[in-house]
Amino acid sequence: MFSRMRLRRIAGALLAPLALLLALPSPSVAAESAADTEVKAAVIYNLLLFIHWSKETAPPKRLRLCVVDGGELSTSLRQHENKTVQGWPLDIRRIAATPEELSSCNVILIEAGNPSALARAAALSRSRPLLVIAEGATAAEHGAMIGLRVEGGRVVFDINTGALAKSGLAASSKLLRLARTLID
Amino acid sequence: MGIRQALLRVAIAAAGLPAVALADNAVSGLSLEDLLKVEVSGASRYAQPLAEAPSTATVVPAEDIRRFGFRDMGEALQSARGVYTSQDRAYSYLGVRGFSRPGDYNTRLLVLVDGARINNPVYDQAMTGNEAPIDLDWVKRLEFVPGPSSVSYGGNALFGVVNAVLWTGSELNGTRIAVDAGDGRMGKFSLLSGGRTANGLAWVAGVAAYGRRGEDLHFPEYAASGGIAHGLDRERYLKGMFKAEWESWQLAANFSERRKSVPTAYYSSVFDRPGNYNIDRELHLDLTHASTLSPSLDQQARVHLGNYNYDAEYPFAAAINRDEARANWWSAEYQLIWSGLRKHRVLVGAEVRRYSRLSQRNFDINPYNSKLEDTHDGNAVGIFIQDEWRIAPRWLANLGLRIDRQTTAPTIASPRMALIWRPRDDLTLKAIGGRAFRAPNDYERHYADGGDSQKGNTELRPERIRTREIALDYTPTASSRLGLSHYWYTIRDLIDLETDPADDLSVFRNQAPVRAEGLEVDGEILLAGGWRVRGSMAWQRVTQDTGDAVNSPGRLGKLLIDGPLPLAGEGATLGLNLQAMSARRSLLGRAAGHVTGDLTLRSRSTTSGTWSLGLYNIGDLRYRDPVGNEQAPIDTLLRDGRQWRLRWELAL
Repeated sequence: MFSRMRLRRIAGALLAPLALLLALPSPSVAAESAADTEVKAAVIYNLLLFIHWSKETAPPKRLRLCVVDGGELSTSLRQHENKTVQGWPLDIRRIAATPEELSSCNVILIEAGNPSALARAAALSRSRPLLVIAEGATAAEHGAMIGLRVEGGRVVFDINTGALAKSGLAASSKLLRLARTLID
Repeated sequence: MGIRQALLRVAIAAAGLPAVALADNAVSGLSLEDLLKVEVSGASRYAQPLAEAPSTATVVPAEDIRRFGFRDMGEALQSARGVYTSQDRAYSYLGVRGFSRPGDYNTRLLVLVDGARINNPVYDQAMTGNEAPIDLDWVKRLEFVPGPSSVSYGGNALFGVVNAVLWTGSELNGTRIAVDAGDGRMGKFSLLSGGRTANGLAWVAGVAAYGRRGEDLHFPEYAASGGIAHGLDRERYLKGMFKAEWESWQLAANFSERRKSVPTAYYSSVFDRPGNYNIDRELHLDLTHASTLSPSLDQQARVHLGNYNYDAEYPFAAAINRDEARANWWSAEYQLIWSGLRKHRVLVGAEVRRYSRLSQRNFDINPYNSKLEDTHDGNAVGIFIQDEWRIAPRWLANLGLRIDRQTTAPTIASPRMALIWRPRDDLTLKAIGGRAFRAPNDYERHYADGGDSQKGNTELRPERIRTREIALDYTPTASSRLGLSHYWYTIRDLIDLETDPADDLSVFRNQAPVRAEGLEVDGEILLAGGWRVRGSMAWQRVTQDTGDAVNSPGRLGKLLIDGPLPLAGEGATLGLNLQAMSARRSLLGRAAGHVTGDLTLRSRSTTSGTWSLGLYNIGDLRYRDPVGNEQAPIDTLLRDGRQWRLRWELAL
């Protein structure tokens, strides 16, 4: 009743182009990745330069940026690893939002479509210094200190100054000026 | 220098910056001010973050699919509160908010793959089991949005929308191979490969092949004919997928063929005779384009081509009967997203679907006797508008309206209003009200088999649902979350199968109103040591003039625990999935309540791959699902007992 020959023919037809694709030049991400993630990654790196960490809140040796369930953006962010941020070398980590992993981060980046991770990171940031950056149009309203989004084909960001203050952090006046909206 | 970089230069030049600023290192050398002027491309900007969705959404990421050893979409979605599955050894069914009519093909649920509708147009069927056109190994995450969503998607979105987001090439950047073995001589091979070429083309390709011989099954209802269906639970599928993204364009192609033999002798065919089977074949081609027109105006366009083939055979005493359905269709969709007005984000769009062929045939093969030759075409048109209005800093309103018109239904308006209030940082409250509809489908209107069992009804009116919901989401600490939802809905003109006493034939008719009320609670807590505990309870009551609805459990409970597997090294995990369901009414009696448990152990990842062992229904519990009257004399059907699956995965 199940025609093996037919399935085999279909399998052959499907696998042939697949084999061809596998033979394509090996993928290279670092050289040229999608423009929007590259720009976002560069914006994130630049944002870190303008966040004020007080003596009490400053990270000891390295500034660790954790990406929750990271996709493309974390690949682009890798280009900024080990660059210096206010004297600290930058660490990039992909994490799965467990408490252990969260506790080692200074900065958390949450990509779009992950509301529970955002809520969790936002709650954690109320009890200790933790910079929460999230993608999405209403991310800043949902507890992110910096909400990244694309508007009119440009990357823009919103700042939640109240959330920043609760975590013992502050944004430079330059950042506040460049932000699309400020939420208290 | 690639085209991408050249375009980026042009964009930056247009933004009034010297293009020289872009050296080889593209954007990473730019200052923040300049970065904010760079024009970007890519589809991700349109990805609707679920946090702002006017509903209570659930996300099942690929990591959960692996940790809990979910084998199909239905099983994965069952981890969400208030969702339950049932099956009849032909297809799988998903129940949401206490609603899942036996013999109905998930018609009130809309399934999307990367945002494209895949319910087939003859039966409106949303496939969530092995019959689904995609393989679970291709899924990056499943998004489930309960509640009416016709305001965004038109018909079928009565109880919810499932969106399967597939991996993209740049996320994969490599190859994944998985080999499965399981009981009933089950074997599966899947390969998924993707990457990005030097000139900026991201591609991903996947293929999955599955086969299961199955067990000999015992049906006491057929004791007179021996009661055992020998080797008639076979299943086999082959699925393929290819997706390419370049600049602002994305092209996706998907093929699937699933063959299932049916052991239940449904539609009164001969019991324990081979040759009762069904085959579903689907082909989807999808082209999307997303770009920016002006600083405050974005556009998105989609063209979709679909082809569906259904073939089934029934061995009757007198002859072998064959059932066929064929559908060809295309759809086009265009959206504009305008953010030019302060505090508003407005989306307007239009969608056209053209069914060039919807045909159904039924005939006896030998001697040939045609019972149904029915071919139609049809159209559906929808226009929609949605406004996301930030009334005040902590208040967001989401207002939408969609107007649909299609060949088989009058003009229907589907509004939705949602008000979202965040009085505190850790608390979100939502009030949602909306309407959704489903037009009668070709099968319900025209299927007839020459007076043997069923007749058509072209007088059917569309069914409509009206839903109200209040929801709360509370995140007191970084490691805990609590969600609560209370909903009410009324379905008018529900389309359901009944028997016409005049000729004893089954026919679809509009039914008296169905009313329901439900309460859902779910919580999640992260414990020390990496353990995560999630649980949910749902209470629901669905009533109609004949009493409680069929296949509608009053209570559903779930407990999912996952964490590091002790003594197995760093990275090894354990996932336990407990599902409890209270008794359900069946057409003639009832199916008892049950608690089942699935356990999945996963080794740490090494260069020689990752092993996992899944044990399903560990307690070997014998529990049953209510089934439709086409399965008579069977009223409730036994589900699978204890099962196992051994899986080996390798990432290259």
